[in-house]
Amino acid sequence: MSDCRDIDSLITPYADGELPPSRCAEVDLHVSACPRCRARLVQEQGGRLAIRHCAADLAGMTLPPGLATRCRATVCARDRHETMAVWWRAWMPLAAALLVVVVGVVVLTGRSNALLAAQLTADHLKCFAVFTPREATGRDARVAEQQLAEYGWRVRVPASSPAHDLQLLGVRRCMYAEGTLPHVMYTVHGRPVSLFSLAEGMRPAAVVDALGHESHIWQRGGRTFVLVAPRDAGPMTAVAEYLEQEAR
Amino acid sequence: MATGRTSGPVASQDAEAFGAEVLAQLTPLYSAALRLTRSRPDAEDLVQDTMVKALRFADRFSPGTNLKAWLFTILHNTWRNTRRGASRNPVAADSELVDLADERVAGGGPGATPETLLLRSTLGAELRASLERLPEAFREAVWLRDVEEFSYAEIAEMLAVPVGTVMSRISRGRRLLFTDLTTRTAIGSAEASVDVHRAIP
Repeated sequence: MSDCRDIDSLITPYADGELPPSRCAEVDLHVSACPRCRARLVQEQGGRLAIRHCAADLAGMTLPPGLATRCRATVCARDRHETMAVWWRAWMPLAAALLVVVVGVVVLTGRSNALLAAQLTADHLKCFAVFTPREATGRDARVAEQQLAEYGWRVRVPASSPAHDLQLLGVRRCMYAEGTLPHVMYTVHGRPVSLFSLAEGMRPAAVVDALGHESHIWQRGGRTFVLVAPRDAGPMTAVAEYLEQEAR
Repeated sequence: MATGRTSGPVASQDAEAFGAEVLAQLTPLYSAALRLTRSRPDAEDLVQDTMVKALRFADRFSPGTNLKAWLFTILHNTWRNTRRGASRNPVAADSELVDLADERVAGGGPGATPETLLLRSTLGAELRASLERLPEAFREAVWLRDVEEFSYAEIAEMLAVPVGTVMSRISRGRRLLFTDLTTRTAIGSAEASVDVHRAIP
């Protein structure tokens, strides 16, 4: 008769029905005469049967709101991302030169708003290139707030505003400096617009141009808010005023 | 459940079809991510990272193989990289101490058989609780085999361990699960039963 140690490695494929008949016979012969190995086999078959009996129920899962939309957007954005990569390779020297100029301005003048605007504009471009929730029209602001709350942020997200043709798309957690910050994604007249909220309140209000975008910066309740919009998307003053009133 | 085997080469499929096949695996991917991270926001991030990597490296997918297994491998690799250096180490669960815990609970409840276990109306809820109590390494191996129905070789690639280790984890996980279920019922009190998780220092 086989040794218990030889049989031990066969118990799992035996229970799964993946042993050839000759090896099955070997296991059958051994367990019929060995109470210890028989008990191990019963335990293994019991656990296997129980979990497979409930497998469909265990696998059932409700996806959180927004995840499917964001992943679909990721798939849709792949081609756009590749196009962006080609564009980026072509324009990288110019972008690098622009960044050097922006950093130079910051260093020379101490106007840190310029660097902030450049960083957030880059983040705005990246998020809309990769994560644009294209089909998430009419998203509920409260759902967006709940999602941010799960990241530990208590932020009031301004809802869509038909009067400003402002449409809420979704929210994201974005990298900034050595931490993260909430990023609310909108469209205005169909163009991508971002609202960022930073946990700092010492910046002067300003409107800054960076990388072809306009950044409206203001403070409220100890936080700094930044609205980033493409310069050719039209006047943003009314939208900025609306967001300034609603965002907390 | 281990569906997702593609029938043709990726190169001949258009990108949209490949993307649709990837999206079809979203629910099992999120389920796996939630089991690993135990946090909804982290699970969502892990799934999104997996999606981005899958699309970026689509040309590395071997035609005719299991797309779902390939996605699960990306997900597990991403998770391992994310928590590299963290104090938790699931491999430690393969130590001899687990054998000791295994022996402590061996035997199950008096008269317990697989058939009587399946007749219990509350099995689903009890099973979820027992799975939660399993050490992570065993829970993941058992889940990938018995719920997702991956092959031993596919699981070995996902978890980056040898096939023998996969079979060992499945075996121990199933036995711990069975004895946990039967022992708790036999004693009739969760507090009085053997806690297989706590039995592992």
